[in-house]
Amino acid sequence: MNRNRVVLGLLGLLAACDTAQAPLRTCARCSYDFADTVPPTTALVFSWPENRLPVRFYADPRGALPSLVTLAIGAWQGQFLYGEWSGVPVPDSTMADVVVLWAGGVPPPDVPPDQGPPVDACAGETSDPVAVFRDSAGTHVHIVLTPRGGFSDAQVAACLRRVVIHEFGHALGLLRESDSTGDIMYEGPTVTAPSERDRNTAEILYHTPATVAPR
Amino acid sequence: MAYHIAVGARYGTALVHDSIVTPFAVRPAVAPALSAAAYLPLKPPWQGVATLDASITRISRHDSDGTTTNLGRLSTIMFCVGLRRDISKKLSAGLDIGGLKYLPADETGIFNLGAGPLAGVGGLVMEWQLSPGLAIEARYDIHQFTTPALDAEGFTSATLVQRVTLSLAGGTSSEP
Repeated sequence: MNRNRVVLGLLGLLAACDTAQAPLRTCARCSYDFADTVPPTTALVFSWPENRLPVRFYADPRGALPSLVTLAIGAWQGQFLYGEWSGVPVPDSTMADVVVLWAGGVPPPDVPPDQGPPVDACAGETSDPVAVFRDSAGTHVHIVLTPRGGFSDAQVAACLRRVVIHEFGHALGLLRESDSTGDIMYEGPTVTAPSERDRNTAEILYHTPATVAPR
Repeated sequence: MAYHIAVGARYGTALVHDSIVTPFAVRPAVAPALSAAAYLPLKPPWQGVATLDASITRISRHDSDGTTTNLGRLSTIMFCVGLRRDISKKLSAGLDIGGLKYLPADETGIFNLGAGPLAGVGGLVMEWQLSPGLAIEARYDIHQFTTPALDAEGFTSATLVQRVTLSLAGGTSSEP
């Protein structure tokens, strides 16, 4: 009888220890809105489905753009623990899901980024995946990076590293800007990598059923 | 001294339970397992045993809607020492303790910060002798699983992983 109790107790202990406590990702300030809305209540949620992974990125081969694209793919891929998103550079724009181009000139490559305070030395723009795939016959998302004049090459290089990761966030489905300066998805990002809130938001997006899918 | 080589199949419980919008688990597939063991005769009916064990599996994310996502290949290597005791002429049983190391094929996902340290492992083994030098072996072992990436994500404890292996073992007999 006592032996049976010991065995039952051990089995109960095993069952109790079986599951580790998962982290909380949905508290009020743990994430931010990623979906666009069509008033009054239609939510537009875009993400790349599993059968379209890895997402294929073509980079204009001039200057530092190929290395910036590799940086941004790695920055976002590293946020996902469970295979929800991955990306890969491709050498041909006709094979790409996302095309990344320069506008307004090509800054010199291989310039170490400035270590000083972040300045607004570049701009980025991403075509809205909802507009591309739902509202038009488009098949590619476009990202355009623009270096701005009046800044040092190092300041432009630092800005481009922040902005390319920000724009990739839009391309993977984070359609809205964050309201916190600590996040890479803040408009005019000042941080150099996705934050915990960025990661939580991206993870939640990729576990939320999409309402818009790529063509 | 006797030696055994065992080939079999291994089932393991989930490595991770998580919930992002909906609950899901990361589980290994049933995997081939290969082990080599050296038996050292002690005072009858006891034997000492040292075992080196390896297996290669695929891990997948299993979502609550029934979909699965392949997360790549994962190998394990384990070294154990233990005791075996003859229970009857054909049946023996024993206990093992040792260390287990995960070796992911790619440092991505839950392994993107590495596989973590060696995990302590404890096991129970039963062996049924079919003929001299040939046996069926059933093994149950437990260890705790976590990775640096799971720690960084905010997991505050490890998952207890239970594995069951059924093998066919052959080799030299320790009987004179």
